[in-house]
Amino acid sequence: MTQNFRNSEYENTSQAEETLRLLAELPPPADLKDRVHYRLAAERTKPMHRSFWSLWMPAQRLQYAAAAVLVVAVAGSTWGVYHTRPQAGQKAGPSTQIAPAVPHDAGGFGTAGAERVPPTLSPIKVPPAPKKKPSASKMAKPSPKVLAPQAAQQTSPTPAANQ
Amino acid sequence: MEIPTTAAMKPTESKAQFDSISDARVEDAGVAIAALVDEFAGTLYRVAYSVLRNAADAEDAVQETYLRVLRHRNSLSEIRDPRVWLVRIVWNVVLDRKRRAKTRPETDDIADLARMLPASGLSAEERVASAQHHEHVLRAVTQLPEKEQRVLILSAFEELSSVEIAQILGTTESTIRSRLFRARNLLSNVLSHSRSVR
Repeated sequence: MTQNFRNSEYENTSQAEETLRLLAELPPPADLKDRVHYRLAAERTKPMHRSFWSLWMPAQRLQYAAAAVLVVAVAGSTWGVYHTRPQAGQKAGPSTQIAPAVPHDAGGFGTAGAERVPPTLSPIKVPPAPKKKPSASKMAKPSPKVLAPQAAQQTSPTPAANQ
Repeated sequence: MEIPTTAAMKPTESKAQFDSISDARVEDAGVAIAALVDEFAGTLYRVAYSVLRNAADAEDAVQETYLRVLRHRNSLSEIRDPRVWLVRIVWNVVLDRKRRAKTRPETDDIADLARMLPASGLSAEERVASAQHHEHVLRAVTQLPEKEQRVLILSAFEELSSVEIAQILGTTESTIRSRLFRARNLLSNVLSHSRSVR
């Protein structure tokens, strides 16, 4: 039984492989080589792909050299920009105006109404306004909240006084 | 076969001398590639056809293979076994093409192919039966896992040893042997199963 099964298995496989072998032995077209030769010849005679740079600079070594010079120039200028700025600032001093120090008593919005005066203009001196003494008739009345505790102190007798 | 090697590159003093040497190199490479075409175009076509099962596609694959060789003509002298090298290139080209054309149904191709296989010395009835058998086998092969299928297809080429198949597929000889063993078993199972169904 097992032997029969093995035999049929072998037969199956060998027949299948015979089919694959026939497939592998199918003859190629007669003029295949000629067509391949023709295609290769056409590819060889085709003008080479020329890039934009090759029009301007034909030698490849020169192109590489020019590209290297460009890279070095860009790298050098970048390095220069990042490394020379702080030194120039130290020599020339601060280019911006420093705001005057604000006293702490003025609060958080002390400079809100400040006017910037350009240093090129001479400041206009304004004479100080005359101080007027407030007259008695125009004197503002004190608020009742301020007066109330004083009145309460005067009217209510202290516990010590009652005793 | 030995590939005609290209002229050795030497430092030159003048541009004219350099140009003449590079021209000679190009010419030598052209001669070498022409020799490769004459020697192996048929083999490459058969390998391509066994996978693609289409004459025009197989020829395209062969042409693309030689174009790739042309692009790498400077390294031709480094190739030890040009046959295996070329079969490997065409194999990769073929697999690329097959991957791209995966959506195309193969059913009709197999029936056509089975009719194309040689059946000389057979009567008309026997030819029909033979074509049906080939079709049955080819369908069974397509049901195998991809790796086993590839090994089985390449092993059908008598000119390729298991070592060379291993080089083409980029694996070891023992792997190829075990895959081939597995492929034969699977194929036998598929064929006996389909016969019992019929």
